[in-house]
Amino acid sequence: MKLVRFGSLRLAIAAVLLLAAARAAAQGAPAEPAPTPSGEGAPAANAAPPASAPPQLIKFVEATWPQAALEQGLTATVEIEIVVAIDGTVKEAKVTTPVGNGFDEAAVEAVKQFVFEPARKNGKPIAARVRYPYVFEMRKEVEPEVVPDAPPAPGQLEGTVLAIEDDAALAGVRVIVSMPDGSNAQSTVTAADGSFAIVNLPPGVYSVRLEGEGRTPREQQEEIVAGQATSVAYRLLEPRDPDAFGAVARIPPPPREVTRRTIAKEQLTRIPGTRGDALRTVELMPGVARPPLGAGLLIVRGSAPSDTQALFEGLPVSLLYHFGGLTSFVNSRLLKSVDFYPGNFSVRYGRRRGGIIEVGADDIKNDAPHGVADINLIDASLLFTMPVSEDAEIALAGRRSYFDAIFTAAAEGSDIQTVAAPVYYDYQLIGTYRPSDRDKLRLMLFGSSDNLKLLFEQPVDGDASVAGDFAFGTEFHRAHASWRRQLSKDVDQDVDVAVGALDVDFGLGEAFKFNLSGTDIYARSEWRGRVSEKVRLIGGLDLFFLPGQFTYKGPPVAQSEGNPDNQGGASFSNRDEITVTDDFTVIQPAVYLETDINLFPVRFILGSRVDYYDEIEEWSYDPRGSAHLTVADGTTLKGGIGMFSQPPQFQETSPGLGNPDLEPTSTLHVGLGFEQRIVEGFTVGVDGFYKHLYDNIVGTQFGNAPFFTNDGEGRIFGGELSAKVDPRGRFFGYLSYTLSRSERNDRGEGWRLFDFDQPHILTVAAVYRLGRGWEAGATFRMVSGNPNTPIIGSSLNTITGAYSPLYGRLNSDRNPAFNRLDLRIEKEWRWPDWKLALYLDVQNVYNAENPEGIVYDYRYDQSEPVRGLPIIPNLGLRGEI
Amino acid sequence: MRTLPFAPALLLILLAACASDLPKATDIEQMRVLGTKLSVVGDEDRATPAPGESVHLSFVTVFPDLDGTTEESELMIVSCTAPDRFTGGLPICQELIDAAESGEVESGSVLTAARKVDCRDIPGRRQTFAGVTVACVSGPPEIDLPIPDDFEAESAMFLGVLCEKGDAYFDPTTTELFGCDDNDGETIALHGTYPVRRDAEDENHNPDATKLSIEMEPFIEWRPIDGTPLAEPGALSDECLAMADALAADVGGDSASSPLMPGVDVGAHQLTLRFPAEERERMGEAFESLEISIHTTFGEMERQFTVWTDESETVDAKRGDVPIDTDPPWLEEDVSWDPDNDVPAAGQLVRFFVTVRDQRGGFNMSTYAACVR
Repeated sequence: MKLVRFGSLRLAIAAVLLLAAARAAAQGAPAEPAPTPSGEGAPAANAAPPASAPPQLIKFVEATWPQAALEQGLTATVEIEIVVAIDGTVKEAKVTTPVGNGFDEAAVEAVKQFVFEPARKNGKPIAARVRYPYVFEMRKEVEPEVVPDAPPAPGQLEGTVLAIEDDAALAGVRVIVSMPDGSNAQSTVTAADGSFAIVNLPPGVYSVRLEGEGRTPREQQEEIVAGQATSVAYRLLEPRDPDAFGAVARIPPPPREVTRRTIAKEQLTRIPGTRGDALRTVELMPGVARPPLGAGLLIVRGSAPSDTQALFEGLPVSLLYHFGGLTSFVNSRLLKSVDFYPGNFSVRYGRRRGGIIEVGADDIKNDAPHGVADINLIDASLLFTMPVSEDAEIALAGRRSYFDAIFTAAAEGSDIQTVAAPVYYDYQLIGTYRPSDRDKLRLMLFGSSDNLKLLFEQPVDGDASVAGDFAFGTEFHRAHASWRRQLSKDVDQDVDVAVGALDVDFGLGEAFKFNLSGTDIYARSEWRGRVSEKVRLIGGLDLFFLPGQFTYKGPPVAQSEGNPDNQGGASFSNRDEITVTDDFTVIQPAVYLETDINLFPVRFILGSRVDYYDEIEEWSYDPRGSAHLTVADGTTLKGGIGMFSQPPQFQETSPGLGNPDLEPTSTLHVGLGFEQRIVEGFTVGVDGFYKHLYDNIVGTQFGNAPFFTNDGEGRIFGGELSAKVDPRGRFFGYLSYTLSRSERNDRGEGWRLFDFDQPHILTVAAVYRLGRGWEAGATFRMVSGNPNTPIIGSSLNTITGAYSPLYGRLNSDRNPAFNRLDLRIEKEWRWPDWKLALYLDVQNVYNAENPEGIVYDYRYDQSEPVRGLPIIPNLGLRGEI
Repeated sequence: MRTLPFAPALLLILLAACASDLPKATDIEQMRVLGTKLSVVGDEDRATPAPGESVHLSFVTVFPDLDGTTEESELMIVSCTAPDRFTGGLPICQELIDAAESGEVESGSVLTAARKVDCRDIPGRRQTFAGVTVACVSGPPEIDLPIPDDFEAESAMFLGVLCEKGDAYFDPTTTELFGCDDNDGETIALHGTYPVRRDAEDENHNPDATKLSIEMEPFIEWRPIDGTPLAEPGALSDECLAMADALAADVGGDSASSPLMPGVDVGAHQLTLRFPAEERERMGEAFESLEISIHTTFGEMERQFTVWTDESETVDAKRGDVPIDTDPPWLEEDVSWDPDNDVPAAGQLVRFFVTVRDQRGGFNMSTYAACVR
């Protein structure tokens, strides 16, 4: 007779039942009969799940008895609090009453491998918390009579694979079983009803891996008992991790940022007022201020637009929007998600001190060719995808505006001659290839162009210098190659290389001319590794290289923010003129390292980043850290602090225009947040933030050499309230409110408001699927007006004949508050192989005036408000195969 | 994302161009200073003084009515060195910038008294201290200002105020710096920078406004200023004729060449501006630019400016490729004028003030008139 070590299973199950019953009673659901572990009468995989039920243990894992305790013959009962996730796995396991002697750790390790039938409420799986006493007790066991030479009868694994969100059967999911050492490996694919069966499995513990198209892969262990069928039901999640893709497993990144707001694919093109443009949705997020006249400036938590960077597939994008806000440069239907980090972002992102917008491209469907054509009042676009092979696919998209035809007609007969009417186009070509289960290659070719040229035949009234060509042109093209590779079970690597051409042209007759052109080159390599169960590491190198040239003719470059002359002040006639032509090379390498330490319930993310800026021969070091505390199920506290450095803009350091001896600016971010999941799919959050800006670049007091110095500072503080309903059913929506204040202090002259300080920003967006193909939505915004500097008088330059304004206290007045309602309605018709949608998106439904500024007469004596954008309807038709 | 400088300002300028209800720069509705004519004392044709010379500044002033006068006006002017680099707003004397940066302010000038100063506080109504001159003038706003012998900068500047009927003052505690007390009229703060000549290449002359001719279509009669009787006596009302006679004796600018164009009907008219292409002053090989600005006491001008640059080898300055085919070659441009206000039955005398600038500091003005009925 020998002693056998195992925990008391039946006693533990009873305890689980008691706890679950109490919880169910509290929720109003009846208690269910006792569950049994896997293989002993577990619920049939194909049986309908009960409406409301506590979690049911279907796979029990025996703990390893601590050696020291075993030698001493010690026993124990370890009380563990378990959080069972909606897929039945154990999300958290925490010892409530430690007993020591190694029993606590052993019990937790075993419990973490338990699998439950998840709790249910109204038929839908929900997360649940249960108490579980894991009992270490000894009992005598009678050794079974072993029949020599008789091999154990094989067992089998059978079951069903379902979708977590609606229990729909998932067909085509690959199920791979193998022993831990890789032996006895077999695989199969689920049938149309989601069922599978793998037979002739020698008894033992197997690793079961499930890989489904568009689903997060899942791995777990199952015990196969001799001569018996192990029945299971697996539920697969849709990938929430934007880094997960296809069939290649990736080490998911931890929640590094204090605040991350994600707009998922299902919502990107459906929000009213955005014209179906994914990147315009960012403007509705908490902490994002409203740019004047709808120009595509991203003003994040009181930071200047140049402090925020948008990235497409990990690399910076030079120009985000056509014509400064009309529509973004990429077809929104190519995107998977838009992640917005308003502050305290990871060390993976650098050279910016405001916010980050990361735009991710979606995986291209490989099942069949697909296409989307969209034509509306402003532009037309086409998107086409098709598989090339089982492991490769391509996507091609293009868009062109036809606003030029309308503009030319409208300008007919005026003093403005159209040389080149406003037109934009963009294109994307994406190819993906998976040479192995561990590799994914992608090549993207994309570009964008905006062009407008008007001829003012004679000068505008009030400023004789403003005459001639008004030209605006921007163009960029890029080739971006990426390689995602799983180096080992615990290490991933991403490599990105991109080369592009950039050309920006802006001119106003002879008064102002600016041209910048260059070749931008990005290279980036990142490694992610799992050092242990609790520790992960991310390290990376990235390089930005831009050789180029620019030409500038116009007034001497002055401080842009906090300068009333930049808000439409003194005429060009009354300013000096300089001409500078320069070749330049920007070289900015960086290295970063981040570690993620999981000490449940707290997770720490600590990182460092070092940047070098060759154009000013300066370094910056940015330490950053954040912590996430899971207070309770669905309740998370988070906080972060870090430094964020940014190099000066090129005009601030270019010899002849600025000061090459400037230093980088930096900002301290401090953030604290709280997120609460009210019910599945509905979350609310509160975030507080403080930012202090150091070494801000400001103009010299009299505009003389060295023209710019680092003698400015800033402070920004505020809070954000957000509520979000995910698109799981007919409805989704957002509510966000930001209360903040953003100030600057130039040259120690005292604190004043930031040019875009908007103390109150309220946004409400809601979309509802009415049924029968109808969908309607509304977005309402109410935002404080921007500060402005009053003009209190003027002085006539009698040599030029133009008046110069005299300014009151900087930013001491404020424009009226902004309010706007946008509506969208869509009707979709579906056929087996294609669908057609007709939509109407109306911006500013009640035609609110929303003054954006003030226009003065020639001597700044009388004024009129400048009206904002009027009602803009956009009717469109979209076909999809 | 890197933002371009000035883009919002430029957009606003364009928007301002479309604003409809604000007063227009072409309308003379109160006393206005249309420009400063510079002439070197002792060499009146030259507009650019040299170190050691004095420059005569004449602030050309116009009124909406014929009885407007500068006899009760007071001008306070500060003359100094223009700043090395000027990014906009009001220029500040380089001497002041130097003093602020060095922290050393010499006392002795009335301007450093840190209090409000009017013309009575200035000894002899003129003081020059540390290279800065402050002076006052009563009556027509004209003044001579010296350029120091050791003047090394490229440009000089002036700033001050013209009070139509009040007392000018300087107050360093206010943003405006200058103002008028007891002023029953207009207060015009003014400033400007002008180049200082170093050598013959820097020399500039005021453009000859007599070379600019204006014709108006359609007109009923043409009456030259020399007094030749009308072809059809009585075609104009007596009131209009009287005003035209008064104007003939009181025209501004180069009076000898200011024709009268009496007798135009209510309705839009086209003014044709002409200037002999080869009469422009040269800057080396190129011709200087000419900027014509038209103001009127009645009706609405189509626009304020017409600019002819050296590339203006065509009839239409910025438009087509039509070569100048007149002999001698003319620069020509049309501007429309619409007297859409209520015209009295007796007729309305309308004056046009046409300034000509060469965009290098040179300036001149002519006056034209018409009688509308």
